[in-house]
Amino acid sequence: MSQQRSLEQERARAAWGRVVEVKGRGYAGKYGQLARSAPADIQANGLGQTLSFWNAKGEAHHRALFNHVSDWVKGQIKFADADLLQWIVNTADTDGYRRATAEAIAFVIWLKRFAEAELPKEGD
Amino acid sequence: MFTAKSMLFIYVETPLHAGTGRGLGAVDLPIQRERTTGYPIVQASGLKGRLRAAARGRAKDSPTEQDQQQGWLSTKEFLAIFGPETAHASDYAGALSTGDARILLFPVRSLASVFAWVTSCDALARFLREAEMVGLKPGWPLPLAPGKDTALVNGTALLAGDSVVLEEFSFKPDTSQAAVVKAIGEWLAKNALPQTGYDYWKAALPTKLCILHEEAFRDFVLYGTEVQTHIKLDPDTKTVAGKMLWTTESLPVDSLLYVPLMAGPSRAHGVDLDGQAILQKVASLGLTRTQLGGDETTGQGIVALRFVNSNGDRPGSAATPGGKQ
Repeated sequence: MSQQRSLEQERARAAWGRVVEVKGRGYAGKYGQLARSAPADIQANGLGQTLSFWNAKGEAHHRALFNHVSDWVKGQIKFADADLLQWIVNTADTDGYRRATAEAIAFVIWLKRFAEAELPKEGD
Repeated sequence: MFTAKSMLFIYVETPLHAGTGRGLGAVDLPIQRERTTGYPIVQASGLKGRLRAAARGRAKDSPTEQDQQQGWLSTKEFLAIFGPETAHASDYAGALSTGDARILLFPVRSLASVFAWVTSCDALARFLREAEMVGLKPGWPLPLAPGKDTALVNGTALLAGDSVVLEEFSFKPDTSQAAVVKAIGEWLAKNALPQTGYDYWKAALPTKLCILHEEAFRDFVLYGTEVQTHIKLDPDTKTVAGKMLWTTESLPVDSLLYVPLMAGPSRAHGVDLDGQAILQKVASLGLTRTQLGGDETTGQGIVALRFVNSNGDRPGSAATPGGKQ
């Protein structure tokens, strides 16, 4: 229990840091919108597809969210590839990919929660 | 005291959203899940309420003998089975008890064969435990648990090249326990799937059945559910109104759940039914389909029901033990 709790706290702390960092930027609103839909996007489309989509869109807010998720999961599941998408494409086995998916969803749920509280809503 | 027991199988025919209200997780409106495993369930109270509502439509004050043969209840019997109306709730308890509906087969997108029914030793062991509780004897053994990247299959139907590809995850096929997988698939096809209109699915089940490591199964039931996005549009601008953009989660079509049903003798004054007769009455109501969970008016939550007693027959049916259905 205590270990589980501290992992959740670590995710929360990391997510908080990222959201605060984004807060002053010009793309804060767009980042918030993307972060809010991110958990459902990953669940509905898969982690690989979602990362590819963000990568392909490539605007500042896509890139920021891509890097945040990639860095966090890389820190949890140690791998040598440059980023999470490359690891999924080149290296990951099925079990590792499933763990990465679970970890990414757990992390973006915190991003979503903090984005809702801290970042401006589009159209406000 | 329960004197009679049977099993109810629930086959999901349109996406089933048995919800919990608000969620703070990935989906705004998540489905009901077990606390410890995260497996989807349908809570007993919702299920019993739905059976009650369906049975109410088959109850009348003084049914003729012909009505009763066609599965109609008298109002007194209805109340004895399901319990009195709310205003008289403290008079006596209903005779029927339902458990939570648990997941047994979960459909997952498959590269070969369109979709696979996945389960795990964990889910199967739970099913065997509850089957024993209600006196049902499936007669197949629990397979040995597969490895994390392995899928127990029966035959080649799910093979895409050398692997079983489910969603975007690839598993190594293992046919070393094909006989057990086949036995489980055939037993479920014969005993758990709805009785009519399911010939194609009964033939397909043994070949599309796939037993995974319990962690892989857990991740599929956690992250492989259907997620639907709903919006409300502003009628003038045709853009999203306010914050009216949300996601709901559903159990996908072709999921299979099971529920233990138990009954004791009627506690209602003037209604003399023992537990077996209660279960027989419920199974004879003709409820081959009903609707569970939310979004009824958009066609969600249609499920097919199958009542099975310890002989594998409908409770109260005339067949002898092990007899034909």
